[in-house]
Amino acid sequence: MTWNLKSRAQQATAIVLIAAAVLVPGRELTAQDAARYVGTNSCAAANCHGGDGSGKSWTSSYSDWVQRDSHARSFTVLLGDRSRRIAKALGYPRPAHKSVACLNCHALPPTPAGTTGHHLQLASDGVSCEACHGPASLWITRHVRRDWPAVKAARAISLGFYDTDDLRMRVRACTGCHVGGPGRDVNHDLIAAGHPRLHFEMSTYHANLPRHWNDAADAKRHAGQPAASDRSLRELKLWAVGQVETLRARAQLSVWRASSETAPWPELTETRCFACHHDLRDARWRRSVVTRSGRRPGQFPWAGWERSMIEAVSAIASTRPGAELSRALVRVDRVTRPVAPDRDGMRLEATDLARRLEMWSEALNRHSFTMDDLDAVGRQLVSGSAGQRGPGDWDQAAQLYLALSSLQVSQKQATGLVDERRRSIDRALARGLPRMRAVLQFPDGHDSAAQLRGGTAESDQPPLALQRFLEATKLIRSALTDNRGARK
Amino acid sequence: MNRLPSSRELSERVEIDFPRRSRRRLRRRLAWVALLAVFATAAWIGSEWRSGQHRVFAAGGVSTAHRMIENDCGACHTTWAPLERLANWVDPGSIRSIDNSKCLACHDRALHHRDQVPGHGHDGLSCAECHREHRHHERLARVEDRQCLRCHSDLKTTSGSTSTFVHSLTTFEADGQHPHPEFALKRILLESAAGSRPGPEHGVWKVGDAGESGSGFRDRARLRFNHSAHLKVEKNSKGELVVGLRNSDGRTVDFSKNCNSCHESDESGGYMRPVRFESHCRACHPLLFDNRNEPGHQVPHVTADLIRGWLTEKYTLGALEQAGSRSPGSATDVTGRDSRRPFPGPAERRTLDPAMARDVLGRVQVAEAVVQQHVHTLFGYEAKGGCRYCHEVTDAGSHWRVEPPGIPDRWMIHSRFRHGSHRLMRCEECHGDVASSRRTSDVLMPAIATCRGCHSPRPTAKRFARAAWGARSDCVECHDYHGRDGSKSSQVTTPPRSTAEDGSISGR
Amino acid sequence: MIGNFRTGRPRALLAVLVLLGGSISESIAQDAVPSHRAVVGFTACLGCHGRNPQQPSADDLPLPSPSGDWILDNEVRTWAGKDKHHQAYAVLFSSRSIEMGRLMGIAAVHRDRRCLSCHTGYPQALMPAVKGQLVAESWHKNTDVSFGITCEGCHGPGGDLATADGNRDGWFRLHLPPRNAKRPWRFLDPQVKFEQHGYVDVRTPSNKARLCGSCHIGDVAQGRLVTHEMYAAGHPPLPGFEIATFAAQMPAHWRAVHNKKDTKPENSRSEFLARTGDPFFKGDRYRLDSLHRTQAMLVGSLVSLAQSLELTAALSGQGAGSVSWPELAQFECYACHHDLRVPAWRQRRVNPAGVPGRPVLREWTTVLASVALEQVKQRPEFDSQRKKIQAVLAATPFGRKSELSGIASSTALWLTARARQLESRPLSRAEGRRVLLAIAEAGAGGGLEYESSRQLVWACEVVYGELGRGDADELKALREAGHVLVFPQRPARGLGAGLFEPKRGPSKIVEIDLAKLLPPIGDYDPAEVTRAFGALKRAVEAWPAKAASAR
Repeated sequence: MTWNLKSRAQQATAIVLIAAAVLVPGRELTAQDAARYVGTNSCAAANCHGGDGSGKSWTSSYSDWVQRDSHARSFTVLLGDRSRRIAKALGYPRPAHKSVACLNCHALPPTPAGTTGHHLQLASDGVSCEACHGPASLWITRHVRRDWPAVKAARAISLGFYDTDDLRMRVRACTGCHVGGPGRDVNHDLIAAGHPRLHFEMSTYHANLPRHWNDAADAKRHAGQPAASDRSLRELKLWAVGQVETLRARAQLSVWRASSETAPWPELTETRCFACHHDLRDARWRRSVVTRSGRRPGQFPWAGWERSMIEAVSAIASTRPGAELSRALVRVDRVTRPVAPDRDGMRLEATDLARRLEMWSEALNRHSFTMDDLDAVGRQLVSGSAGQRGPGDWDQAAQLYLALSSLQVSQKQATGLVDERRRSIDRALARGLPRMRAVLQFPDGHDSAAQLRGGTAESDQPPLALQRFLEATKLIRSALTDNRGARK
Repeated sequence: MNRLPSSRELSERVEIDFPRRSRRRLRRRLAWVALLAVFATAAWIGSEWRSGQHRVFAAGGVSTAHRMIENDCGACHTTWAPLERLANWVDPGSIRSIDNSKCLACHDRALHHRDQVPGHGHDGLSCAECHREHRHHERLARVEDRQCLRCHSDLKTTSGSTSTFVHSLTTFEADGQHPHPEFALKRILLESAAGSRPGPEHGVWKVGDAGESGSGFRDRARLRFNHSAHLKVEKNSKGELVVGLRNSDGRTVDFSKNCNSCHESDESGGYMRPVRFESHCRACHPLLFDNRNEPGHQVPHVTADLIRGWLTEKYTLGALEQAGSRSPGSATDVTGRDSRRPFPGPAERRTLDPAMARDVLGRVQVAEAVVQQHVHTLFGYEAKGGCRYCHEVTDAGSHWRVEPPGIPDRWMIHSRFRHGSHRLMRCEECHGDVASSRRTSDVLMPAIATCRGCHSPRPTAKRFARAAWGARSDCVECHDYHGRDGSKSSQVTTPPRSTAEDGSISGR
Repeated sequence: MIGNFRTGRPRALLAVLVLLGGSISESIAQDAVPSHRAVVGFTACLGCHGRNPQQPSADDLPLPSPSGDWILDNEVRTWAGKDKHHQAYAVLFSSRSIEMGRLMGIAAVHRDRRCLSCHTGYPQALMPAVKGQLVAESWHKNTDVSFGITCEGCHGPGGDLATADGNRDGWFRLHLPPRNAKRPWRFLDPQVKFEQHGYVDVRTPSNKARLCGSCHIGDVAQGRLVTHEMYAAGHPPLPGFEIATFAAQMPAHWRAVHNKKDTKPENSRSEFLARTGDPFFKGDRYRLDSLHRTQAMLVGSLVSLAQSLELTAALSGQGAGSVSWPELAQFECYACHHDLRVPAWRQRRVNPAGVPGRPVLREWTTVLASVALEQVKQRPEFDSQRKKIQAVLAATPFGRKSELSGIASSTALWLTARARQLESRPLSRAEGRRVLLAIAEAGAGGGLEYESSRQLVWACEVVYGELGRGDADELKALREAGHVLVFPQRPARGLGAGLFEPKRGPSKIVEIDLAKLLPPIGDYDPAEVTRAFGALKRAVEAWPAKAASAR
């Protein structure tokens, strides 16, 4: 939606408030009010970041971004026919490439101070450097000096520089748009008008992002305690922190939606797409999935996609959040029991949940991951409810698949597959994952999981596709849980 | 014996001192009568006053619009000073019972002209000076010509500028002593055609524009349009069209008779709506861009960058689909590479291999080239089409933008005109030279002579139904004394509006 | 059970006849809820309405007075033998019902008032709840309950009612011949019958439609409501309701007035028309040769829409017990429940919600109503009202609660008035043709979802049945449409059978096996049906107006 002045003012304040929580610890916010965008030109100089790739990786990060990263084309998308149709359908007064609602994500996001980089000259660069690294007006000058590393370490945040070396910061740079936030809300209206849905999974998106940094160094930085000193468990950490942070961002979004006048309420994307968007069959397995997850028949599950891997993350013993988190989740479920949840209730519960998740992700971020964590997560993935009885729907299945995929990668990175057990696990994954992927593939002409049709009124038996998925999971489970060649 | 009266006796018959005798009685009577009359009048006036009948002192009925305040003198009158006015009857203007502030309370209108002599407008000269109330007039705006001629018969300006206006003007008729001059627009056109420096700044000046200095006056609309080409019609002996315009479904149509197929009048019936592409042009000028590969497919009539995005997306996707069909489903073989790439679920968009990328790039460039140098063979029917065919396209390397057409909403913006009232006439009776006009810069407005054909105080060649006289020809029939948009300055002109922002041609 | 009726039990019947003598009111007085008329029970009806005309048995006692050829004498048999309504209660013991109970946390489905209110013939006022929504275990042992929708389920409880101003006779005693000798029951004004004696009128279309709709659509006042939770727990979807078609489906235990015999010596029909106090049959409002079913269809469509709007109003207003707004069951199921496709017909059609992504109310209710309102020249008014409702619904997902209830109920009132207006004049054959054309146009417009299209097909069948035309091409078009909509699973030869046999009338109109019914609805694409209706439209337009009115 686009905002009239009044609500834009509200939005600005909302941004200040919540972005404070999203982007920086609140106390440093004051120093940051002045931060403004300066545009890519100041980064693109040939002997700054605009190099030809022959030098260190940072010397060509702009070049890499502009050539290989699709974020550089996020503005051009708005000029396309589809964007025109969307803006038209939603009755925007201006074309998509001029609407604040679109530019908030397809170009530079609003700064914590609420200033936007919407004028064409900035916007046409799409999601450019400052979108993730922070508005540069305060730090650009210091940034080019030799003592930058020291300055950065000392007061990066107060200068408005988001240090993406910190994984949490990195995730938040993504979730701002890929999950959403104040004024950056892919709600049901927008999706119904033709915008693709959002499903963010950090490690996957990270894997798909063309590198414009020194990835080896990054892996080393977050290595944890892998099998060998030259190995790294970064992938696992990325996945875990990503999962928790994503859910936290989701909760924050709910807070905003519940409190903002501009956001429609009840908001249908608060649940998951395929809770409603499945063909109506008289299928018992769907009902049993509902009861299994302790919902009433016909009740919307809150944040289906983002929360489906939480129990697997909590397998990481030393950072386990404990019972009050699950209680917080239960309370949110209680609020979202009616189709139109009470706004105040939602705001309170979601805020509380976000706070708890915040603490958890902080712990995870500090935690130095071990091989035991890797195995624990792996076992939990395949023997949790989704792994044992098969996922309830496509979202859960996809999350499971992605989790196992990043498990495979991080095992490869952490061990180098030297001992036989690791190799067997990897073989199992290599056999199982493609089958899972085949199940996840939408049928031709469909934009939803039509392959999960079927099932009968008599039996709990899920449709064939899900059964195949479950078999693949079994295959992987057997490899993950047998202790022959036990770890020393 | 009779005796004659003596002279004394005779003299006594005459009252010698009659002038000295007193007439007090008679005087007193007269005085009483006078006094009585005064009281009677006072009483009568008083009663009238009480009964709210102000006709006694008010001079005649007020205009229709003011009826509601007819009995509320205070609404217009400040001081009621009959005696003073009587006292200096020579110049009643010097003492006024009307203050402009009263009028402006409701009618806050503009000055007439920046250069008008002092005491003309808000201060000094009273509104009531021209708009005479209590005269049983229906409309106060209908001021008699003499009001205007007070100044315009011998015009003075503060700046003393000499050449702006005709300085003495007495009549509208051509053969009068000081006739109304040719319309300024026409005049300037003629002058610039004659090569002499075009007329000084005036309303029309804003609409038109001096090109590079001294190149004279021209219409600055940035759009190519050829009236004669659109009106060209030939009929054979049987009266059926042989030459004419072909529209999209190939039929030959005759536009010479129905101008209103493009020039539609607005709701009020006064002026003509701007011509819009979608409703007036697209039928015959479809925005085909690649009739060979995309027969009948049109680009939207929107801003340059939108069209560019549209084409880019279209061709890129097209190329991608082809590419997709070329290399069958690589969805399943994810072994070896990271199985999270690309994201599972939706049918995946294949990544471009270099060859394909070049192909796509090529096609996109072709498309843009096509759009930029309006290749007629690709565009439209009978080699018509392409942005440049109508628009000015400034071409900055890869980035090209379409100039806003900037067609003026109105010419002669100081005047008042209703097409609706002239519906009895055919368009070409006034806009005669349309049929022969080839260039956009031709300003096809009628000369004043055309108007005089009907508008004249004397019987005219064109008689109307039963009128023995021509149509009205007083000043206010056409002229707007105050700024027509009510703006406070004298620059009451509308700059040509290009309705959509930055090079958009969608507005019209 | 039926067997018992046939062999007949002289004593039982005798007892019944004795009961008729008036001891009934006392006999049921004690367990009747004073505020409400008691249910007499269908056994009391057997004496007169439970016979077998084909083979009268010696046991049959002579009727208290000759009914002439007015009644059929075997009404109860038809109901108990053929009519599904008498299984309504038994269904509550099926595995599906148990499952639903389990999912919704209902201890005993067959004792829950939410279920019983539709699955038995008892008004909720007669269901004393002992705890929560449950009625006493003993209560449901009552025979009449176990027979589902019994006679009085539709015709209204027949017991007497003790009110402040004396005892109001129940219709049961009054309608017995000996009782109404001087003031014959048959000729009373239905309003009097209802208000004084609790008899529900089933002759005027609007009343009949409202009666059926109270279960088949829902009625909060009587606690009859199928919620989204019930659907989600497995309750079969309520099909879109169309009174004429559904009435034709129901094994007829009646004869419509225009079908009743009018033979000497009684000439009961002409006598009825002469003496009845029912305004519906008075003056020029009623003609024997009018298109009764078509009229019923049109009137019914308005009533159905009114009822579903009332339901919306009630739910978005004060709500019903634990049920609160938004109640998803009020919205179009397939607006959300479909697999997403690109491109899809839903994206091509005009968005009924106005704003993308906003759920809409059940669509089928409006499609025939618009046709009906065209007949009384009220279409523009109706459209403007719909726009208002649409605006309120589009304001926020599931509509702005506060405004919705008001506007919905006002529209419902307006529609009810229109329905009365429509049924107050007979329908000529020429008008019938116009209706058919209107229906065809509505269908040819395209973009209609499954239920709406099915409404149109049913309506066509109704009009056809009465116009008695069977021109090959039209029927072909219609059969295709009907085939697509109603019997998608059947082999091609099924085309001939089923709907649109002008002589035989419709066979099964709703596929009951959900496994067969639901998938085609999910895959439904209106293109085929739209084409069929287009063909029909052309065919009907081709009729000479004369032929339309000639029989």
